[in-house]
Amino acid sequence: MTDAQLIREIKDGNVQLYAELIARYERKILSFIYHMLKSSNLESMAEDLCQDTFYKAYRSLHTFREVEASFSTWLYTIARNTVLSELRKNKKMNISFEQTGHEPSSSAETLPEQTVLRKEKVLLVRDAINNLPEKQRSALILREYDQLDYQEIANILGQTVSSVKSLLFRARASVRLQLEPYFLEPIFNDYEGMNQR
Amino acid sequence: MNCNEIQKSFGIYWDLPDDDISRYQVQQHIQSCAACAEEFAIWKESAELIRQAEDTRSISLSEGRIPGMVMKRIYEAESWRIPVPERLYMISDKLRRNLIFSIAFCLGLFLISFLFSIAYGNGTLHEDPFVFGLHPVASAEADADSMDGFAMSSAVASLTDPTFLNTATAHSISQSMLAISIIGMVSTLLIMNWVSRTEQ
Repeated sequence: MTDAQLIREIKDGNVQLYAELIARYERKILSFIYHMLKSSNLESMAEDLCQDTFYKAYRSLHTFREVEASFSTWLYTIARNTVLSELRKNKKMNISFEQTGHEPSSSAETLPEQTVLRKEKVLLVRDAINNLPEKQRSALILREYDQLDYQEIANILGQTVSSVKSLLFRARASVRLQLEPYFLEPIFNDYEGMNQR
Repeated sequence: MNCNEIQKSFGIYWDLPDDDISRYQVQQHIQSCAACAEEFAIWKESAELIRQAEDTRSISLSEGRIPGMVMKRIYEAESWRIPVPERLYMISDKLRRNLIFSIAFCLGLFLISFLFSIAYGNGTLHEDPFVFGLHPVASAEADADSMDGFAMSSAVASLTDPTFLNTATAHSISQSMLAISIIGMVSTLLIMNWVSRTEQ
């Protein structure tokens, strides 16, 4: 059964089928919410907000028009709005959060140098993504982790396709800038190596 | 395209389809320009790192948890949408205790009545062959022969009701007990059927 058929059935009163629709998108939506909340260290709320998203979607299902956007795009829009609303609420409450970085679990001494460096870079990229402005971060997450196309991202963010391109460019440029010192290292090492030779 | 234009397209290079003209132009340019090739390598590693930075380790998704929770919220708000086989009624401890007592009473009534009807099946309240149904009309018509010397052509005094329907349930102890035992058993079955669809 396609999404459209399921939605028609649900609108006709067969509400039980909504569970099937949730099961199709829960992982994607949860992942999106999780990455959006990471910047504020609120990722523990991801599951609750995911539930809220699906519940809100159900309550507004009668307003959903297939011709305007796909169900997944519509769902992402609700998820983003739910996250932004929660972030605003938490900002108002002025909660101070403990920094909880995901450090590599194994001991650094036991890992090869390259792996350690790679892990450091990944952590740096995560930090860089978390520090991006909200729209750039949303665009990057939707593009890189959810593999949505420009048009879908534009619909979710309420922007034009060219704005999305610009947002993605700026987001990647920011991340790249954060990594600049690391990119210089191998070149410096190579230079040192050449001198030794 | 010059170096500046080429480097501007590095930011969206990985989003371009394989057959895109801009992608082809970038590939052609970096083969002949060392500076752009170096810059392209940095962008490439950066793009790979962004993809690797996806942190899914902390996302633990137990099967059916979110759909279950959402459906629960929906059914709490719109209880009439709960599917009939899943519909459960909450009953209090007091009501449950009373129900158990009622079932026990009905079953006891059934057993005692049934055993009594078997043991004392011949015992009757009063002997009456016409227990149910239509009874014959009682006639008070005067017998002409008994009226000595008088001939009354229409000296008739009859009861107004032509028929009489007796609706009494039972006229014997055994019949009464049997009826009570059936009521007890039916009541038990009805209560248990309802209880089977309830939840503590």
